[in-house]
Amino acid sequence: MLIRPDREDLRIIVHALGRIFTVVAVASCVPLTWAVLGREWHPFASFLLMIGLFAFLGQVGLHYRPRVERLDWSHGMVVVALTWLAVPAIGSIPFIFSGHYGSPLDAMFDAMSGLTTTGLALVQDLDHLAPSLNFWRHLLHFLGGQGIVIAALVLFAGGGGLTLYYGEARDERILPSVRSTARFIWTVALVHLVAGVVVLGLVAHQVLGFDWKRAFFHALMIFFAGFDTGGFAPQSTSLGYYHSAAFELAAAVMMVAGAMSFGLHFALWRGPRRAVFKNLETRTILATFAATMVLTIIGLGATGVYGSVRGLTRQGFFQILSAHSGTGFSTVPAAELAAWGGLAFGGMTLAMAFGGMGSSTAGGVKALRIGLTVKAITNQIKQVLLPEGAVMKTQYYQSGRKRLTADLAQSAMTVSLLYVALFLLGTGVGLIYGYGLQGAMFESVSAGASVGLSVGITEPAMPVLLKLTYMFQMWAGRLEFVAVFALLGFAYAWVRGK
Amino acid sequence: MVRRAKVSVLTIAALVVLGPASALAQEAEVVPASELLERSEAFDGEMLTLEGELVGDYGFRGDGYVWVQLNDDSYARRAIVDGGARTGSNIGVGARMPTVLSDGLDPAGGYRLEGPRVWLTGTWRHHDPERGGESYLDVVDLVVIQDGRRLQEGPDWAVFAAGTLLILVAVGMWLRRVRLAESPE
Amino acid sequence: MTGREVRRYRGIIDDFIGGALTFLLELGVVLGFALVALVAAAVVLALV
Repeated sequence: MLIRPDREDLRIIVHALGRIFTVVAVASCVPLTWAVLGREWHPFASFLLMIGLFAFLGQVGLHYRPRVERLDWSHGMVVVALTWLAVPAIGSIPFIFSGHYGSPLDAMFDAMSGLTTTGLALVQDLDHLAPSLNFWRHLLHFLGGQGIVIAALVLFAGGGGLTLYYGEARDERILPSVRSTARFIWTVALVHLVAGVVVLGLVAHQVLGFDWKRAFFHALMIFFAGFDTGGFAPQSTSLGYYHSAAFELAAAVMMVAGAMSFGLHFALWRGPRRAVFKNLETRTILATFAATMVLTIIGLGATGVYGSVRGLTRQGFFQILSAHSGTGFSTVPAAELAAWGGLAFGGMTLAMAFGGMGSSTAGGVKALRIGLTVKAITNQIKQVLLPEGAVMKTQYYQSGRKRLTADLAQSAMTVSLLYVALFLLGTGVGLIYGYGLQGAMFESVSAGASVGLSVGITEPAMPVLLKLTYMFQMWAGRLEFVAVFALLGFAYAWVRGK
Repeated sequence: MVRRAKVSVLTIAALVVLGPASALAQEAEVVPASELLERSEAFDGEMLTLEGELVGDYGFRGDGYVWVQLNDDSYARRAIVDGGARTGSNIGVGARMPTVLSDGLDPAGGYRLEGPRVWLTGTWRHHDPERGGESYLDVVDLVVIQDGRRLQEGPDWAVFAAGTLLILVAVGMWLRRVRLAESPE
Repeated sequence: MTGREVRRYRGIIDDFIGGALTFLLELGVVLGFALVALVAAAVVLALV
């Protein structure tokens, strides 16, 4: 029997949203400042409107103080689900007024794609887009990747931190308190920001020959999109724009950093460092990366797409890294990627679906789940082969020896299945509209796993229902379903509960 | 005007001096970039001419070459900010040309900036083994059709007013809450 | 120096080492896999 949520529940949720909107309003002052410095007055006005709306709604939310300052699991999940709907909606305002989008839906698509660190884009004439708007696209990656919710936790006192943290699909509590965990995540991000921008900027200036201002601009944008495994790029030809293996190398380092879980970052930073290579998650992702990459290279080499060792190595490696880390940078045009058939298609799609590590900005099923699923299945097989009554102790190593319980195995497999269902949903809708199976599947996995690589299906003229489907996939995939179900359950209970 | 005349003089001089090479350039067909991208492999090694707008950055690499992006879409003729229609994403290719060809070129296109419209003539390289599998136009000749120019985009006063109003209301609400919290109960 | 200061400095040095190790690992992963890719590419193209 469902208990109907009451006014107090609503107050709690609205109040938490108020905090979050206020944080986003403050963060939005950065692109506003950028617009001022660049004298981009048209975007400036639209940023002002966006900030105004966030600030106003923030104050409205904060006005509704709940009687008791508590945030239950269900509240937290609902707040996260709503945040990831509301922020793209309001955050699309600067895009809507830019004139570069065919409709408000297109604008929200890009905002959702930005925040979920996907990277599929419906923007038109990107090469003439205002730098402050380009910056906002990439800042959305950073906000979504680092977790706006986490930011809100760090800056505001009050309970409920843990549930909001879990709602954003982070499952590792690295430090004793959520606050210190959140602060660590932001420290890692900032250190990588400084180092990444310096390296990328130096390459852009020294190797590519850009002038300092533009070198810094490109460095910053590519850092955000790489480290947050987003995939937006400041120019229409993505990473292919730079025509440089050196630049791709620097970007690749950021992508690896982004695909690593923050738990792994913590183990490297503060120890124990041995855990890094012993972890099931690390071993799984190294294995899947190697396997999908070799598969793709065989596919590309055998079909003659690349005839030189250098070319095959560079393109195969980079594209698979982009797919597996969930970044979505591309060094080849969409039309060309669409022609990657057979093994290459298989390798790329699997890489996208497998995804990165948990508690990172990457998407997909995620390495630990895959590792646990494989272990659970092999255990089942072993059980069949062993004599009846034999006791099997199943363990795995993940920052310490852990037991592979039936519950854990079930949870890993359930979420994996949900991802598969999500991918199939998008594939199905694509097929209905007449897109080929290969393309429909590729694009659907790209959306659901927050990757952003495209074979050309994602474009302004695409059917509205397909746009909505991909947006749903980006939303549900990024939040790993729990928060989505919580919101749906909340709404259902509101209507049907007693 | 002087620049255009200079280009024409240079072109005539080039025609006289280079003779056969430039005749080849004149004979090269103008290929739309979209077609080139669709049949990239088929065009490998072909001498062709592309027409479009130079956008983004000029990458002056130390090896005597400069890299640039050439866009051949509707925005190359009329950017959105200039009142152009929305026709989808940009369509363009990368091009590498000898640094000397870039002398005197207007800045490449970007925000409120229309880059120079040019004809680029060169060999199309598809998955060039020398360049780690990159595809690009290896330019031998550049002709400026139209200089680059600055574009205007004024502020949207209605949006500005609405935004300012909302911010003032929000600040007002915040101050009111702060004052209520401070006042003795 | 007080014990607290020593601990703080050691903490900062630890952080530096940790940071450097992180970057080395990230670069190492990239180069390592690039090498795997190179070998795979060479083998595939030799066989094709």
